[in-house]
Amino acid sequence: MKHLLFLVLISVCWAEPHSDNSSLGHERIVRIQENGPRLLVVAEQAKIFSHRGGNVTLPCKFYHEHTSAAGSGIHKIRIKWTKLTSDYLKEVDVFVAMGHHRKSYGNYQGRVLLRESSENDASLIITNIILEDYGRYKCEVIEGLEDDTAVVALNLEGVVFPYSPRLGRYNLNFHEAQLACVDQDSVIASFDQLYDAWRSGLDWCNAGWLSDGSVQYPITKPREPCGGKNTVPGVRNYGFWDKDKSRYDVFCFTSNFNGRFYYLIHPTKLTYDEALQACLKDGAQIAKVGQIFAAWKLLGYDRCDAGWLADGSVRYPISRPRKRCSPNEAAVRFVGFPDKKHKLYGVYCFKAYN
Amino acid sequence: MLTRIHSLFLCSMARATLSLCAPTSHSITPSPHTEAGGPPPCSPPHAGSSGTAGRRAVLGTPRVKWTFISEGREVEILVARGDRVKVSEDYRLRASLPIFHQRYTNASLLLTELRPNDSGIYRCDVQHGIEDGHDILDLRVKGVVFHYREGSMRYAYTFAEAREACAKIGAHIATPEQLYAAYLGGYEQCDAGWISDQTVRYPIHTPREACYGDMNGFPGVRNYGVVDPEDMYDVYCYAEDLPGEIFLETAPARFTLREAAARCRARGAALASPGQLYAAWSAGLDACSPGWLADGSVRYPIVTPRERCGGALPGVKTIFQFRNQTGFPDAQSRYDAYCFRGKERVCVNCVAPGWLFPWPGCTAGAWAHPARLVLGSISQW
Repeated sequence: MKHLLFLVLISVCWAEPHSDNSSLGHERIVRIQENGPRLLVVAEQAKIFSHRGGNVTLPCKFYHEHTSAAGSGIHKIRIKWTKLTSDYLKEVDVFVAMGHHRKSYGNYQGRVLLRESSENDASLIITNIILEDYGRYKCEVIEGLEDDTAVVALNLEGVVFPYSPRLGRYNLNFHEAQLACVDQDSVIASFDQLYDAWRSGLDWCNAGWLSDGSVQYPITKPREPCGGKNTVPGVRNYGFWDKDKSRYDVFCFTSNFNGRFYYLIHPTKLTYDEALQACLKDGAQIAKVGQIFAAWKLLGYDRCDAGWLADGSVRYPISRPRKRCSPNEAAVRFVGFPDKKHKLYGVYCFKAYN
Repeated sequence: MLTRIHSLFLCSMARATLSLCAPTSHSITPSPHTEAGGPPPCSPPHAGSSGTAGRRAVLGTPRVKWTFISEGREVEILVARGDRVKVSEDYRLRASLPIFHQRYTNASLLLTELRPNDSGIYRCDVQHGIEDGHDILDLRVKGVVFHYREGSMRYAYTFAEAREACAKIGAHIATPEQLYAAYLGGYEQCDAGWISDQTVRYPIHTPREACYGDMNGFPGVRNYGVVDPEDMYDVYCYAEDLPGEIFLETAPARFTLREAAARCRARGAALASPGQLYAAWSAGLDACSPGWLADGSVRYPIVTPRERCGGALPGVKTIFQFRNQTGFPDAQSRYDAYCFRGKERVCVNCVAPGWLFPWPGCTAGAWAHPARLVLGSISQW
């Protein structure tokens, strides 16, 4: 179909010498006019799914029409991939290729290459995907005066979880919120990620920052304190707030991890410091909040023992609800941020694979 | 045909290193006698210029592309590479790169016949071999043309009175060029009005019964030609800058005209003139609250059209007493008030708590960025 469409779009094109007499007699300027695109860039799939640690191909193909023998050989085709941000004026450089030259940028270095399965293939392969790779990518192809772009979204499989620090509810400005997620082996969630989580049942009555700078919260069971009792379910939106001065919770996103998450079998209950040491002694680290959520959601991890986590909170993951262990729903149960001296809990550890 | 050309240089450029320079913000007046802009000082670094000839042979010539971005929509203006340039149909007669073909390091864009809807963001992308760079610049075309009539009736001014009427409301009578630029920006008004050269004209995009003028079924600015200065018509005024701030005052019971004036005075201001409100509207003021103005008219500025705020078109909306669009409201009827305060006054609390937008006029050059009035912050202010 695409090919057929392209044939119909054959453009009428001509060049004429610049006829403006007032021009300063410098080199000849050729003015080009045309009626249709002569270069067409197409992404066969608008959305690609993967997960942290995975490899992915962002599809992009271009079709062009050689105008004349003289025109085609002069200009090399240039392919550039950028990542779009919530500010449409800002894009992040990812990769560029022209002729035999290749260049990748930032933390994409060493992880990206062109697929080049055919002459008109501009697809980009990203290996060892990290959480920050999530987002929308633009494939731009330039040949001579012509250019065109296509956009592909990279979605990651994972889990969204609300987070507030030991200080309590509504204590994070936007920048602190970003850091809080990173500290828990996650990134601040996008609206789309929160929306997907809401569609699969997330209900949380505290407003949190999202990556675009908005503050929202997902409600599946409308009730009075959460936007009104007689309202429809939805992601409630407070709008955009001052990133420095406004303080809320945050929604974080994390994906598969490359390691082992486990409850440490230990003869006694532990204080926070003892918990920290116990994991180290076991050749691991005390687990982070993102890791307990990823293990629970993506691996179905289930353990009815409250354990310390790195941020000083105590939680336990339940995927098979039963009496005394989150009887009504599968969830990561939150005990609180107890006094770190209390010798009342176990510990969850995480051992990274190399 | 326009006899005068209002033009603008958008500057920028690059060479092998592809550093770009451009002023971050630029405003310009579409008035025939000011050629604002001119190529801003823009000297790309010439470091390492020796040996670029050889390099250029490898890299080819730079490619430059100018794009216009407004309300999130991107429109290509032109693309140039070497001695070839492709100008988009909409810009064919008014966009060019006057220097680029002599010096590839200067890709300044010349845009002529500026119109109000040229306001927005201009993006310049330069690509040279594997390298690229870009810069953006924010352009605001200042000034707004508006139709004006006194409360009482249609077609009530002689030419002399028309000039005076504009002056009285803080504006000038519009020039033919200004009216034409406004027309190109989408302005439509089926009322004949005086123009500065003693002609009588009106701008029509959608020809219809009673609005054909001298052009029958074609869109364009209708022109009665130079007419007897004692003939009576409405007037088209032009307002440019707002040397101060406009703010909306409200109260539960709203105000009569007299109360409105008193409220503005109590705030150290005065009722705004229509010219001031039009200028504020063209700078981005949007408020769905009809309010009193100094001439006894009741109006409100709409930038983002919505059904309940005067329909599908943006503009300064006027409340008339009669269905035929004449008559100002009774002075005893109740509306909000638009007040105007000169710039020299210091404002105390520039950012109302919890609101994102600084109050217009509070920071130097605030009008460089379209200010938006946030309803609801008014009472806190």
